[in-house]
Amino acid sequence: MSDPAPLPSPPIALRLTGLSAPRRAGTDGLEGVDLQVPEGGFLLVHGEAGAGKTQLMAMAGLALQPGAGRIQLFGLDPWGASRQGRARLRRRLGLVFQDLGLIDDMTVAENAALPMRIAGVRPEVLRRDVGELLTWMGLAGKAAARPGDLNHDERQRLAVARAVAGRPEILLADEPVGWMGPEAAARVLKLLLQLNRQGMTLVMASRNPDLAPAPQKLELVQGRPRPEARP
Amino acid sequence: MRLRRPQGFATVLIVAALTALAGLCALGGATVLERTGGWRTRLAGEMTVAIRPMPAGTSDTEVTRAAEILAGTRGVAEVRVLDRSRVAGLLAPWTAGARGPDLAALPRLIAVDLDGRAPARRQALADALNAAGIGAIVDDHQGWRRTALDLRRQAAAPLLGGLAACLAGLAAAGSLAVGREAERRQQALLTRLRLGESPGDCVRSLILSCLPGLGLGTLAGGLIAAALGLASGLATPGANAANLAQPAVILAAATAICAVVAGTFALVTALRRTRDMEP
Repeated sequence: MSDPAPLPSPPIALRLTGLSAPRRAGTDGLEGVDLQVPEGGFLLVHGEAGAGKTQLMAMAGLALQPGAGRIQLFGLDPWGASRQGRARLRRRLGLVFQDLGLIDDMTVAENAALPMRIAGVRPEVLRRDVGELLTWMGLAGKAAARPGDLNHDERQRLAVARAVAGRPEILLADEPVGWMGPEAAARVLKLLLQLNRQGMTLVMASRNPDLAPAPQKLELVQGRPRPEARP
Repeated sequence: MRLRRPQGFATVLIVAALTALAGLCALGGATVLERTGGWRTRLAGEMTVAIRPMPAGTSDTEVTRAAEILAGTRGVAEVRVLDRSRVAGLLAPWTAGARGPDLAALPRLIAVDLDGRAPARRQALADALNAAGIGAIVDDHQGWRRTALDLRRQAAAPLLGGLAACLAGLAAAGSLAVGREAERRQQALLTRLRLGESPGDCVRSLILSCLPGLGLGTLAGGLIAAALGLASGLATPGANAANLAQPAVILAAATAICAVVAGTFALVTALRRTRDMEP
């Protein structure tokens, strides 16, 4: 009796090959980062402050062009694509920036709805989904407020709401619960893990290596992956 | 339309002022061209013959004979003998302050209208008069025509320079308006681009936020130029609907060019800023 055929491995959602970035103020830069995250996978990138987590997330989220190496998203080379092609790829990502990147001229609801609006979702669907999302995030009562009126915990919850609003295929979250209280953090992590179980690829960066039970972990030390920690 | 003071209002004011100046330069240039062109055409179609005064005075018979000779010369359409008082009037600028010339001592002048299809040459008229033994000077108005041409050149340079400076100012105003808006919305634009908004949509939103101010400014500038043009009589004196049409068209064209220049530079700046911002 012959061995059963190996199961086909899932396609790769994010692949970084030989990724490097120059040093910047407060960070060690990156050197020789190789990783791949399958579709529906969950990777936790952890390390000390300044280890290069934010740079790595920014490059994976196409917010920063790598100094050397290659990025592939869904098998495509974003930096070899046209600007329009790159914009289309970005629409398949959900991003929680460390600086949050909320738009002060917009209300909380408008901020949360932005990825859906960019994707051209119908207004009635958009209103319904954003309403549900803000309720889940405990921000329903502040839908008409401006981000400047929120405390940091609420602002971070809004950033997560915006990142998941467009039902992204990959969610890249840089310290998504860093400023939240334990209750809100647990609630947000629960949502992210639930979305991951539903098929969304999840990449989180945190100083805390035990933030969530990730099947894949990558520890960065002074911009380099710790050898035994390579995913 | 929402204009953010003071920047939005300042843009409208600057654009309006520059458009008004550009419109006045264009209107002034067109008027100078039209007037000097008209003078040159009229001067080129006429000659003036001065019969040299005799010591005993020039007789009317001699003047009449000269007029008949000139009228019979090929290329002459019409001949008019100017009476003595008219000659005195023409010479008044040069005799001002004097008690008044002795009319009998003045040269007699004959205005000669040339045939537009085959005008007579100056030498032909002088030869015809000389052959009849009449001492005369034939003036083909070259000096006046040169003066008209010089006037056109002297007026054209500052007007063209003014127009160019206004257009350069409008280009800068359009560019600055968008640049300021891009700076004000830098964080929002950066976030939108990072979330996958197409660069074209970002450019469109930047331009749309500045176009009302630029449009309002150029429109106001065009209207100001029209009002000033009318008030200062740049339109033909004794203006009526027919001869107001040309200045109106010139002003509309100048205003449209101003709007296009400001809008084009605003667009170029929006494209450049968005490209610079895109990660």
